Amino acid sequence: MDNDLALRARARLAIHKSLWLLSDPNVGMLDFGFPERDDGLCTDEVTIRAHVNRKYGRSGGISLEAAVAEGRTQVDLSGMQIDGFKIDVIEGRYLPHLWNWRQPQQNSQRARRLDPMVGGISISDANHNSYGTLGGKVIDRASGREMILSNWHVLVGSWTARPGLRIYQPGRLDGGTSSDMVAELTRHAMAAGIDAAVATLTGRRELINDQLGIGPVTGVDLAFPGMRVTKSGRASERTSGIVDAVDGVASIPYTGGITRMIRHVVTIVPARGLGDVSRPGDSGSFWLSEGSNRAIGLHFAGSDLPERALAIDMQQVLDALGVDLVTRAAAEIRAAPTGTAWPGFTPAPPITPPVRPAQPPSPMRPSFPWQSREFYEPEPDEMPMSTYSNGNGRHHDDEAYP
Amino acid sequence: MSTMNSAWWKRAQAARDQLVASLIDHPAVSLIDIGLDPEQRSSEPVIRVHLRPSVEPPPIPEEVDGIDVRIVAGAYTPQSDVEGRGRQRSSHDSEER
Repeated sequence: MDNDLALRARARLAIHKSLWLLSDPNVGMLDFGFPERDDGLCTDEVTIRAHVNRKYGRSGGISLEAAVAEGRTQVDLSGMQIDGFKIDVIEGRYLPHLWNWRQPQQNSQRARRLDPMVGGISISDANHNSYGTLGGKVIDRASGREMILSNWHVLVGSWTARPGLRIYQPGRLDGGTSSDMVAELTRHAMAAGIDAAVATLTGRRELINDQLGIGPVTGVDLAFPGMRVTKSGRASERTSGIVDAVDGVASIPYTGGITRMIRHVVTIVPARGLGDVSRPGDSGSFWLSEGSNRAIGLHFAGSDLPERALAIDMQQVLDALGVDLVTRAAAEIRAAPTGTAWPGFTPAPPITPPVRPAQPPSPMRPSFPWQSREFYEPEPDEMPMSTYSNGNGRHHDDEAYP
Repeated sequence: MSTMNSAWWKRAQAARDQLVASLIDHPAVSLIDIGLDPEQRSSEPVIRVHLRPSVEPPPIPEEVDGIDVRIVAGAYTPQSDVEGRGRQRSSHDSEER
């Protein structure tokens, strides 16, 4: 099969139209490829292939009529076509590659108690037997306090939770206990349609600006379709992807059967069309632009079929929570002039500032890579409503978009 | 070929907002975004309406204010791990049948 993009696009659409077949109890998978014949693969045609637990109607086997009557299947696939593609029926039964959940993954460095802590490791709140990912270090804009940034459903997870909720590293599902408490929940942004929360570090353990397996976060950037990105997560560890879409609005089911609208969604697909881009446990990870390590999104959801990751635009997250990313490496901070632990900040008396309303989406977007490049210069009245610092004293509106 | 300038993005976001207002509460709709054409028919970004499979979808327009609309399959869930789901990886995503 040559790599005919138009053919593959038609096939993807046909598979999408065939998804209803997966509701049949006998159908386990749909794909697109060479049909199988007795002597092997038939490489001179391509079909939609329905993988079934068992083919009915073969001589000596159960008839299709009997199978339907017994509820083993509901559909006669023979001779079926969708959008001009024949459906080939292949016998194949697939089982999960089960892991005993007490096994090797818990030996992963990301599942363990780490000191100092870094982005990409296990974390949870005290009340849920689960884990997500410690995204990274942020600073409260008002107080200068050091905080952990992750998702609401990782650090909070309950509609009745209150500030002060204890945060454990590692998360409880990785064996975290009260002795592993490292932070206290401070605030979240779910009311603004942003699945994000911050917890103030207690000082028991240090959190440094480092993404496990990647390096320090260097700033914040705006995602655009085609951008290559990478992340460090508790479950799938380091993965790479390509931004497929931006400016999304998602309807996501949360605990208690409650569906919430999440805004500023960035969609990410696997870099080579294959493999994991994310897995349960990666929630809270920072998606970074590859090469520059600038944060573009906070991972919060995903799907396996098809494989996609969903993140929330990082600048929207930071503005909604009233925090800034730490973008200096630990060594730089330690080498800073003595006098204050965080040069440039004068800590105010401890307060809990209100959650800032989310800013409207910025209209500024770079051209797509496949077009002739034309640098976009924003009109003065199109400047974002808030500027921000990336921690190095520069402001977003000073930077040119590529 | 047009360039994705501010005016285009404003128009795309307004078109997206129209679709969000009319579709996001439908049980079949999981996400509406602006991005690469999954059918690769357009060199410009399109609005994508992500639909949950096995749920009867609402009518989806082919374009809004000149911005093409595409249908994409997708059902998304939050990705914290409860009881070790993330440690398992199946060779395909459907359950054993």
